[in-house]
Amino acid sequence: MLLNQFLILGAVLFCIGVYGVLARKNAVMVLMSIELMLNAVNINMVAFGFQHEVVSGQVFALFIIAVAAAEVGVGLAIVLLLYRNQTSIDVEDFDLMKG
Amino acid sequence: MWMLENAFLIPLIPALSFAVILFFGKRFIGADRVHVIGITAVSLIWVLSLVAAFQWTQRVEHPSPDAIAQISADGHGDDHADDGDDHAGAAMDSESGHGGGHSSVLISPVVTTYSKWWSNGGVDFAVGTHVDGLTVLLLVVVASISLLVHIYSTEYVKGDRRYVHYYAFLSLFTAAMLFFVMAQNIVQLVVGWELVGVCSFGLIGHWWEEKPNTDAALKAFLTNRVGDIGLLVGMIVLWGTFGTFSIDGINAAISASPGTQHLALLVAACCLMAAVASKSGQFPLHTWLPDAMAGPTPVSALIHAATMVVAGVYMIARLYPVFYDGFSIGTSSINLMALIGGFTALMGAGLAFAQWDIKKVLAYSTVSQLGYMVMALGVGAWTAAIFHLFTHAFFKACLFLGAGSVSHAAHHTFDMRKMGGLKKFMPQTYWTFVIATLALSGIFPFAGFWSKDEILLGAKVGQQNGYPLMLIFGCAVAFMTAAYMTRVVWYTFHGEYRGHGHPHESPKVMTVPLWILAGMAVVGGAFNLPGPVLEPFGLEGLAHRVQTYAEPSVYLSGLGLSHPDPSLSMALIGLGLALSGIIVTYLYFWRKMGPHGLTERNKYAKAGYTFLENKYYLDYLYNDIIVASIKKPIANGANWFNQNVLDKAVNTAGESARDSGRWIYKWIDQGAIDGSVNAAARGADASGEGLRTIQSGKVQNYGQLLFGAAAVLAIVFVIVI
Amino acid sequence: MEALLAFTRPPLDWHALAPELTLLAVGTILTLVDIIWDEKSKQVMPTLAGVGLLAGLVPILTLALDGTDRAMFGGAYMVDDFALVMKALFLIVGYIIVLMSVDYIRDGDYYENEYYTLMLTSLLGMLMMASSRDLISVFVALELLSIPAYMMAAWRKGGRRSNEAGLKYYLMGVFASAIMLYGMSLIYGLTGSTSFSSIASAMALNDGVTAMSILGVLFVLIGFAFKVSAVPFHNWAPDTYEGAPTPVTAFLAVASKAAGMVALIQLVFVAFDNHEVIQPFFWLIAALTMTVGNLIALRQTNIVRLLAYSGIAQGGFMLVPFAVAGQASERALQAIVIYLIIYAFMNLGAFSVVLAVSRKTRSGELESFGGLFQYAPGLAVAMTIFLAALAGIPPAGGWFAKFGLFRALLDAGGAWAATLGVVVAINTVIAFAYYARVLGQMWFQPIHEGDERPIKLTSALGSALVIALVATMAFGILPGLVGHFGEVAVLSTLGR
Repeated sequence: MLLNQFLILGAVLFCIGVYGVLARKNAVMVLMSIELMLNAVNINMVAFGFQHEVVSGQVFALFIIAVAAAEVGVGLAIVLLLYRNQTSIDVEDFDLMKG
Repeated sequence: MWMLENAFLIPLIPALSFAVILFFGKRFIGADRVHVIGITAVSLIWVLSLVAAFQWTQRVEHPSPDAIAQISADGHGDDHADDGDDHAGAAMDSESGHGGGHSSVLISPVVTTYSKWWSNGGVDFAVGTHVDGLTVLLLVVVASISLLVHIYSTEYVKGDRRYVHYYAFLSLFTAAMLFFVMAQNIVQLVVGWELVGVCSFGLIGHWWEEKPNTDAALKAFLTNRVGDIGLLVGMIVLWGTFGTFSIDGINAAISASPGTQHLALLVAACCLMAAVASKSGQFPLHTWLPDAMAGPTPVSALIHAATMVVAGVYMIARLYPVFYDGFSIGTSSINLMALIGGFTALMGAGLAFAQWDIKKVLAYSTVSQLGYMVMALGVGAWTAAIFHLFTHAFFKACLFLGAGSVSHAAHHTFDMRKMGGLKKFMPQTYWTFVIATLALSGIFPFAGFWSKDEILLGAKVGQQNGYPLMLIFGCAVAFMTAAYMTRVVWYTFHGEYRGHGHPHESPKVMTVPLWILAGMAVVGGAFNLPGPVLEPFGLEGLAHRVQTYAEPSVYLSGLGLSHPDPSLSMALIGLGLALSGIIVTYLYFWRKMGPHGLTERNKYAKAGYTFLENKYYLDYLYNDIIVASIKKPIANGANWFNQNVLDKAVNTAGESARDSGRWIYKWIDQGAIDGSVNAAARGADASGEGLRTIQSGKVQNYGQLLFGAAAVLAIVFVIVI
Repeated sequence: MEALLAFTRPPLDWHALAPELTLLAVGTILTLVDIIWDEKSKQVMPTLAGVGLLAGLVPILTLALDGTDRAMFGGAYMVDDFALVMKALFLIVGYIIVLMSVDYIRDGDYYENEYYTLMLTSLLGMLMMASSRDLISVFVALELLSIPAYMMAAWRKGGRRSNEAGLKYYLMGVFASAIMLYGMSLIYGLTGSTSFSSIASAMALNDGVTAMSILGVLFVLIGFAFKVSAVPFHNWAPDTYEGAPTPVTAFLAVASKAAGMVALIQLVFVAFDNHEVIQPFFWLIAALTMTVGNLIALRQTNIVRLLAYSGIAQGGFMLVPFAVAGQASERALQAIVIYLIIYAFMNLGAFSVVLAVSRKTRSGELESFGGLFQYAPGLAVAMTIFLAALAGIPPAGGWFAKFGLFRALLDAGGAWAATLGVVVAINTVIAFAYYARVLGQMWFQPIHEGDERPIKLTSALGSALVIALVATMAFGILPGLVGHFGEVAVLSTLGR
């Protein structure tokens, strides 16, 4: 029973994250939303690890946390670059290339 | 038999020549002298081809034990137990003179495998050569025409700024074609096929500064690619069915048990037919061929008359068991191949009437004649088709080179309206052109007569059933061919000169190849004369040489392929049709344009008058009234008949042929077929344009698409599975 | 605390890890050299990176000669023949891209040292990917190869297009990997294990396909379908390819795509065996990818963008064998590996030519290729060969790749495989149309802006071109070479 609640929490978080990625215009908010999605995965991983009574779920979650930190670092750097060059971090503003 | 086993040398030499010309030509030999290398190489392969041909005839005449195929002639097909001996009587009679009796033993081809090319996943693939009568025949044809074209070109493209490029590609093209004809397996066949296509692309677009030329080159290549799908799929089906790439293996497998793989062979044959249609200019993929006349004329002679476009015909002949079984040629009385061939022959001949460009007339004529060959193969007349391929190569090359010579003289125009009366300026060209025209029209005793006659006969007799529709098509084409070729001769060489400047005869280096080809157009038929013709001279042994040497009976006899007996009546019908075609056209032009026309036409009237006048004299003294009453209506009637019926018939025939040709050209050829190809291209283009809107440039739209697709896929899969 | 103290390091096979360690060491040395010599070090950077990549090939060779499969970390990290073949491919591709980058990066006044370090890091991720047999190690490898690539895509710091390329690649990349991770979590929950072999056996046990397993498998596959830019997960590719520096584009189009394919191979052929989901999925996206990629390519006017769409379509061809992974697994796997190897060289070759031409014309438009044959015949011929290879015209390499494709479909048989075969055949022809446009430009059009100065090939770019050219032709003429690698890879992956 407990497991399902974690999974539902994970799914809801994931969906909020997806919504944020697809709908928010501010690049930083998009990054945050991605973090939400990753954390949804972490919850799932830990919950499943608990269910199966193996440690690999937690280990996976640790890896995800570590990698997400690196990812966000790079992401913020790119956003900073954009802000410096174009004084905007609205993701809608970047459509120079299309078609 | 050294040459047969080392046939790989033959394509290797022009390939080397290509490399030498391209890499060293300009620097070490001089841009204007590179032809020396090309001509040397091609002369060499010409000699080697003749050696190979000679050795092959030796193999057939005096077969060594290992040359005789193990399977027996009458092992298959109960209703065709006598296939092996079904040659015409004269050929049979000659057997005793040759001891061995070549038509009853089956000579196996010389298949040489050099090395394992690659082996992958249990599939071994070897590279090698497959040499038999068909191969050596093609070798001789390609080498001969290529040699003459090389020589002719030294004058024709003299001073061209891509002289080196031109000769390099001629060499490469020759190499590709030779490689193609001696392919040992279907993969080599595909490689050769593509190489030939690439070379033709380069040569058609030789003068690429002009837009139409590049368009033509691209069109040729693209149309060929469409056919290539068919080729690839067909070859893959063959490989999948028989588990081998070897041509020998596939043919032998079908020949050993005909009919067992009918469905697969039908699919393969249909796919390969698409490839043939694109390469050999068959309906509906023929449209590139006339456009491809944009290349230099000698190239047209080489590519579009003698070598590349016959690649399709050659492939059918090479893999004949596939088509024979796939299309049930033996038992049907109409099939896809015969129909496509027959229709193309008819259509090409009709279109040839509508053209003013001399090369385009010849191009459509080529389309028509290739259709003839395909039709012949479609009715089971293997030998006739290959024989026609052989004779056609010479006289069509002669016609093309003749057209080149004319254009060389008449300020580089190919428009027949700017020619006329060239007969007196360039007699050499004129006479060779006329000889080739007669050969193409099928006038006795020129080469075309013999081969065309065999095709008509083949269509009439067929295999188990005749092919009546094909016979009608064939006859109509025989008539039309003679007619449009006479038209060309008229417009080009007779009447008044309509261009400007001073036309002149071409130099010897151009006319000598023309005479050689014309000579072949005269005597080419001698290679497969029917027995009865030779009987009076005691040369029966020389009858049906092409059939004896070239036909791979080791494969065909298993299928139950039979040969019709020569028929005098059929020959006369064919000849009559050709002659009437020439005469009708002659009358038409003579009536319409010729200054002698009036006198000639009045002769009928005059004769009537004289006749009536004589009568009038006899009865003058005492029957004045009757005579007076009769004379006028009859004379008038004769005159009216002459004016209105005969002339009109001739006029109408000519005009309607021309008009329908024009109509077909405008609406079907350029309109419907080109249109549909263009529409397909436009459709692809437009959908590409439409799809571009997905690419909005906004990253979140991309995300929405990604996640939306993922969600939809997930939902669909969860529900469906 | 006791558990922590009781930890013993798992045994490490240093020989098996030698290629990765070499790359790591060289990457570190690059950074050190940069710190110590600063400006002076710029000259030696590409040399060092190139030598490092070639040095990485040495242990691969010794491992191949040794021939035993080496498993580490409980089977999570595997060095078998498949891994070795792919690692060698990554290293050679990396070397060619270093050669392509030398002058581009130097002339552009970009950060040279970091560029090569990042590229080596990304390649390290790819090498790991080839050996990963576990969800965790696949994930780590994927991120290790992706994160440096995000930065490389945005390498022209001042360029708006490059920035935008980086942003799009990054956002889509992390979004896709988040989706993939969610899928992984579901699979982990279903099977209780992260290692591929246990996943396979666990999945075989719970027979019956549940919604959860479908969702899990689909999301994981989509994560990698993004990486190989399969339609409809491809949108990032054209924009990123166009905006990124051209050598980086080549890197993404070849190396990164190959890494995605490697992961897909392991997932499809080893981990997941519910083919009733996998096969239709791949059937669909392969057909879509080929068709959409080709159709949009028809309308492109920018050469890099055209190559990007061509690359998408080529990726679609590579996905075809996955659609018959169940019926003809050996042939399918072999076809993918062979296609991957040949594609790498022919596409890198095409990109090298584009680089060489754009060095002179300073333009990425198709027109800049006008009349190339007249002032740079060698480049025009080379490009013709690469395009012919991409189009699948023998004797240039690509035909054998297409042949393998058809063979896999043929082996599988059935109506679906046949239909897909027809789609492949039609797409081959469509593809030819836009390759022919480039050919037409080079051979038949007037010279771009009438500028007839010859193109000076730098030695590095020239070497890249020659390597790609020789490989492309060799694979076409002697397909046995690449066929052998394909067979080796199949044997080790499928364990037969």
